[in-house]
Amino acid sequence: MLQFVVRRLLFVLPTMVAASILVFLMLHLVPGDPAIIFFGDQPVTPERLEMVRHQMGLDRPLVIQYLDFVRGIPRGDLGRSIHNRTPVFEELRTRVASSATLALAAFAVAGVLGLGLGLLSALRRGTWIDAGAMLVALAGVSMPIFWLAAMLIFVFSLRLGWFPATGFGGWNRLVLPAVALGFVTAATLARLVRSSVLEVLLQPFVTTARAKGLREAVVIRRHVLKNAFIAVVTVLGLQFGTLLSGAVITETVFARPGVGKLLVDAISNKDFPIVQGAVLFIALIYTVINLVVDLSYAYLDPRIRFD
Amino acid sequence: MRTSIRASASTEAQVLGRAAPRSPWGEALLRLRRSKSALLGGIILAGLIAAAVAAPLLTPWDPLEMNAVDGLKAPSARHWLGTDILGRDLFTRILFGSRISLQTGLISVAIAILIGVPVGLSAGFYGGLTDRALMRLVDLMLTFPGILLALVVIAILGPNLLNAMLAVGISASPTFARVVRAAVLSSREQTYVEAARATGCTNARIILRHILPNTVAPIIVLGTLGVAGAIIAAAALSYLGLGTQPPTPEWGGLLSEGRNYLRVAWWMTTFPGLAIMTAVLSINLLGDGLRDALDPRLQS
Repeated sequence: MLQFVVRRLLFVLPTMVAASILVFLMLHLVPGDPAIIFFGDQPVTPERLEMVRHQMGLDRPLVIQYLDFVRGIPRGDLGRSIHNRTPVFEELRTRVASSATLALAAFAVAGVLGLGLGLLSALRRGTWIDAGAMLVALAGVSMPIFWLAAMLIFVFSLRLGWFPATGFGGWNRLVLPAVALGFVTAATLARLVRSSVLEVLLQPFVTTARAKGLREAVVIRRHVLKNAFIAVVTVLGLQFGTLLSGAVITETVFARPGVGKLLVDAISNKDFPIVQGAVLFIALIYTVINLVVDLSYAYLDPRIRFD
Repeated sequence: MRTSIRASASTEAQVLGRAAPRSPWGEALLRLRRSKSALLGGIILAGLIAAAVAAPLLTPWDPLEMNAVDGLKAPSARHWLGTDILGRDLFTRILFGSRISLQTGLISVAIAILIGVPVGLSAGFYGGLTDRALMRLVDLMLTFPGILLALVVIAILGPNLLNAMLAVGISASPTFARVVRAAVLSSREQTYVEAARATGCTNARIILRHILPNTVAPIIVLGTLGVAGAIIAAAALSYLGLGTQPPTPEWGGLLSEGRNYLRVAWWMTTFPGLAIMTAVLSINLLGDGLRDALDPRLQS
């Protein structure tokens, strides 16, 4: 187990180094002089351009620039926004709470809805409930998040007036974004829960449990659900990337001041220090979550660590 | 020799009163035709492609022609799906948009295949250091969420349709590399590859003539399902203003145009979204059917 944990932890390092190189090179891969990009459409004298190039360290070798960039990361020095000159770290820090709340709420929606639909569908196999639940799930996996979000705003905010359409703060501003974001993951989860529950139901230990005279509810709770739960954790872990990607879009649709919206706005405004910081931050979070999920598999299913 | 074996198998089948054995592709086609959902998906998709091709014949309107007097008109007999703020017919824009959206999906997947398949073939066939180096790179790419990679590509290259396709294609390529590598690993040790090597075939010939054909089935399945994902991803980029730029009609872009008028013109958002969902749903149904038909072991 320890060997697996160490090996898995060691993989985080090259991943983050690669992410930092990618993020660092981003500014240099963009066609044109980064200093000119820095000024955008403003007119600039050659002297001023040279000064900014010096300030940005662009007149030094690329390796030195990269090492400086990396040295700044542990201190939280990710540069400053081109547009409002605020530190990138500060911009990220003020938006983390909004994104984290959304991700957690969407995770809860996905878990409850996905598990519920999948279980209902499996236990009522072949009935109209099964067909209906799987139709909802199929529609869910084929639905663009931004469209579902817009439809939720239209119905529950503009027509019924139950929830505010945009903004951050208070549970009522969280419901629609969380449902929009969680639904697609819930749909994927429901399909997998259904097939894994159906598979577990055919196992000999379920027949044994029934033969012992256990009530159906106990069989389901103690034997079927427990085994299906491993699949749920696996899928939720794998779906975290989808959730994170969806968060970028959901935050934009609901105008939530999160890291995803910060990134999209920064790309549109060509605010590269912010783009670099946000990409690095999302990559770090994603890597850490993947690590946690992998380690939890090894805990849940000891066979996995030998793979 | 081969002919005589086939002939005898067929004779034996006739004697036993069975149909002659089919090729693996024939078996797969038969399984696909038996799947009602795949058939439904295929029919819807064929309809969408036909509508995209025949778009100018199906509508009297021009997708770009503005007519301010007709701005924000609700669906009616004149404008089936209503009009946008500039008076452009929404049905026409969705119809012409299908050309771009479907093409975007196909081209993005083609880019993913062009990058991913050679990587997977080389890693699987050569093994050793080549395999380790390429697969570490693939693993690294897979550790980033797809949209993040796509956004990085867009940030570097700038927002437009071509770059959106490149972005989606590049971010989807690691999955192709992984699947192809797995298929190569299983066929690399087969006796026919050994035989080809023994007869003096070059590596390139072995890869192209003997190994690549065995990776076609997983590529078809992943490619089909990938088109659905690519349509959504490209539409998402356009929705965020980072893909197709106005006034070009593209489904994601149409949805984006509609979001500011949600209160007064629900149709501007509803119908482009339904178009995306229909296309993606049909491709998913077909893809699921293809997966079950081409690789019964993967059947859900």
